[in-house]
Amino acid sequence: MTGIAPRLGTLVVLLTGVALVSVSIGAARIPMLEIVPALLGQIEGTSRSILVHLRLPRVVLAIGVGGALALAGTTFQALLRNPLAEPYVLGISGGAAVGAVAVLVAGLGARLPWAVPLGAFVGALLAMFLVLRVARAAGGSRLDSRVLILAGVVVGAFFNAIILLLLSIADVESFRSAIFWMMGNLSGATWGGNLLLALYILPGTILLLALARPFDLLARGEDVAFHLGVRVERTKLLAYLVASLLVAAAVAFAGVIGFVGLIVPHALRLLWGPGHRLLLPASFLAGAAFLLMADTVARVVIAPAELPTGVITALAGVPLFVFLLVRRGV
Amino acid sequence: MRPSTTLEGANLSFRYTPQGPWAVRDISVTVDPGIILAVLGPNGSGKSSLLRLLSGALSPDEGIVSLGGRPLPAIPDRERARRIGVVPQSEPSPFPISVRELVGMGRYPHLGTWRGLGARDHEAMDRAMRRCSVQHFADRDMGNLSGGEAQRVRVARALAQEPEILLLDEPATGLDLRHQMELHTLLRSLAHEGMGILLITHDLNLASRFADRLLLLNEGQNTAKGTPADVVRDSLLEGVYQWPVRVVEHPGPGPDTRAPQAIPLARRQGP
Repeated sequence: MTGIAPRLGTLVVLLTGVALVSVSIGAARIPMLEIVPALLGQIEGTSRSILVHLRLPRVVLAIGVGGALALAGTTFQALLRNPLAEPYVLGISGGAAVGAVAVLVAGLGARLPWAVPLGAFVGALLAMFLVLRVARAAGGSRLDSRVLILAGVVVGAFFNAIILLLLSIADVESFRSAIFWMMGNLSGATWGGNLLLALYILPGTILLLALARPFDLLARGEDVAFHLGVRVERTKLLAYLVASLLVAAAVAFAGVIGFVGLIVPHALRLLWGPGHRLLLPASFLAGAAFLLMADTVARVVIAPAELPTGVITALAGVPLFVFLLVRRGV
Repeated sequence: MRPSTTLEGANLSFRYTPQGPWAVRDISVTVDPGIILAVLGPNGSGKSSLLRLLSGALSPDEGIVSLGGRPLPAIPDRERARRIGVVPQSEPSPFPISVRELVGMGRYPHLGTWRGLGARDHEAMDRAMRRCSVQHFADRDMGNLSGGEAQRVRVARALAQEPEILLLDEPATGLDLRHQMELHTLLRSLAHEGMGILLITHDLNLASRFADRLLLLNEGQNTAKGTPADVVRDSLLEGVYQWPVRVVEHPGPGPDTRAPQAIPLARRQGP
């Protein structure tokens, strides 16, 4: 297939550009030309401190979370063969939110900064295994995509009920933190957290990229893929587990950021077609760039206060997507 | 010519639900190198289930499928796909895809995870597309093809796998007269080159002309098996299809002269 490398190259350039702008602007402006000297220690003081401890970890987190969500969205769309599939369709966000909200309502969020990501991650893993168990119990040894969707939706609904239950007994302060967490934001970025996130995202991304051809064949139906030599059940299980882990890790550090994982894969498909050898890596890069842009806007528009990033991704993403959809339809 | 192997199903039984009716009941079938075996039978007689058992897509409840003496489940998926090509009756096509890309999918079992199509793969694709007469529209989108053209592309994809065994599920359905004859002629020449072919079809007369052996199924069971002359007989066909039939000889000229041809008659008036 022609054009994979130049298109990915374009996205890398775009992502780099967005990252430079994002590092530069904010409540305190850091001119782009000072970024490298500051990093090298040639410029001391608050600029360097803001850069190293606030801006850069946040940029890296946005890249990791945006990339992981868009890649997971593409994977779930391929796995479930359903255009409405997105990273949270299988109940992972519900599980993560139960974990995070439980920690916040218990009043542990302020004292133990790692408790919220940990609670969210544990909740997400719980949802992931529960959905798999339900799907296996109902669908037998084969992983049936329709059963998987149903299992994800009902498990998600159950977790949502638990969230509402927890919120109903929460005090005002934890109620507010819980709602903000569920909107998703990247203000909690730290180098330690980013390192943990990278431990999931790097191997997970490589594993999913290796599934590009099997995904292309699965689009022609499981029988066709099987007859062409795809290990269908292994591919589906691997895709489900790896994509779920990526989402769990992303949600743990950034809350439930919506629309990136739904809109970015579809937009790329509209622009560049459905081949997964381009679509998977392009999703990661475009998802990273998109979330980074959204987060920069969220940081800047009412600086020094911030908007929840998850709200910006929807506000900006939906019109962009509608534009692409309509333009293709003409 | 590569050494060819036999695909064998022995005493196969299968049902879709544990207590349900048998879709396939105690069928034994051999796909030998150089032979075309046609599987016939009314709708719902278990033909497609039998094909999916032989391809490994279904696992038999009883009996065993083996390829060259090895049980099919013991053969790694990619190796199996390099040796058995399958042309399904139909398949979903959710996204636009070009003819060449679809045929290229046949090379998947020959590729490594990170390796793209090489010169050797493009040669195999071109050869497969030429044999199926689809090379002149190789760059068109599958969505813009007629049913017959799309069917030939799927045959080309199976040939691009370079298999020893080819299983086809009603490949001639939707083809016009000329393309039906071309497809069957192609299958005959593939068989002459040593490929073992199993062909599911509703066309008794083409099967009788082109197949070396026929297998007639009814309600999942083996009803008749043998040469066309053994199977294409009035009484046998009338019993299976529940319709009056007259068998005549192909008038010729050509290689199929005197092949038995079944002509359905008007239904007799009730008693």
